Amino acid sequence: MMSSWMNWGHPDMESLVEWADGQASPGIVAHLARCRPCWEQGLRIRDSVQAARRGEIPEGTLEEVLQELQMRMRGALAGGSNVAAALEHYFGKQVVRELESSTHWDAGQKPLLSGARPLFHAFLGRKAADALTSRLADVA
Amino acid sequence: MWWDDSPPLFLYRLLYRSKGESLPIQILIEKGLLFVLYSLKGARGNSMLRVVERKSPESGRTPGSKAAVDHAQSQVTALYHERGAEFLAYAMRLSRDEDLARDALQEGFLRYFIACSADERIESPRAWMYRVMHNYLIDRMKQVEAHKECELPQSLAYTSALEDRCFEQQVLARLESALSRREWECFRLRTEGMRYEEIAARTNLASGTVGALINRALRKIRRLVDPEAMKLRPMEQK
Repeated sequence: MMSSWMNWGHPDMESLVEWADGQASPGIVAHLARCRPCWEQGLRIRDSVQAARRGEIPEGTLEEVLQELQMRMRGALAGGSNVAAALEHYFGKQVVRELESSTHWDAGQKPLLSGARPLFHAFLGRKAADALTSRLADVA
Repeated sequence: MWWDDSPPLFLYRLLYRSKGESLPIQILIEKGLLFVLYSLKGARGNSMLRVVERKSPESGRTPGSKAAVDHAQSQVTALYHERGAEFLAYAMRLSRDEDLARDALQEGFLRYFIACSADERIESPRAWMYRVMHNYLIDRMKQVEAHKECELPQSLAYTSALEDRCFEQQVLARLESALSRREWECFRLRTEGMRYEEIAARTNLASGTVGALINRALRKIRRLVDPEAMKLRPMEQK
């Protein structure tokens, strides 16, 4: 039986990561031997793994990015009127009220986006839902 | 008004997929899609609430609950410490731009956090992060490319300043005949110093389309003009 990646013609990201770790199946190896874009993508992942092992990325840079990320995560958690207003625009007041009541778990913290994500996912698909929720996180 | 409370999301999806970016829903309304909104009005609402109330069958956590968010935070922190350097190295190799790479890393982890706190099951977080960062970077690089204002070749700028008006007229006539009407119009406005947005407003085209037309025009012009000799190539090389 053909594996799932073959149905689409190119290996998925999971298979490329396995290849970069030296755990790919013979089918993937054969595909990479004749497909330049996949080969380059696999090499890029493998190089990145090795670069991380060599300590190529300064610790300070990672710390800075982590701090910025934590701020954005707090924003996404805080919810608040900006996010509620943005969500109302898409779902209407009734749904946002429902979301607020189901996700309000601490004083001042309304992780509305986390609650709204399944909605976006159901209606928009994964990629668009990802883009929209992270954009709304920045609204907070 | 009946459309105030919830524009349908499928239109957002259509637009997202067709243009690679999201736009305010009001633009759709302005485009005359009100009748579509009206036809969908009745089917909405209850089904949305059912999605909101859904719990994960595996973990039993409600999306956005404290348990789900705590779980998400620990997942993000663990993955960041384990793989953050690797992901950043990947983003830097793909984008060749440190700022863009840092954006991609943050964006990937933020989406991962939101997905985890929504209690979404992710089989392989590492591959998931690679895929999200890859898509994000490709989208961003496409956007940058589409909005890049292309410089006019030095030879063409010089051509416009030539004292020999006859030669200039000859060049312009030849260029006009070589380009399509829209290419010529966009190119001419660009040589007058207008920016892409201004040209788009003047010609009722999208800014990206203007960029594409000007790029295509420049490619044709480069084939026509010999920049070193500052003269047109013979007709047969057109």
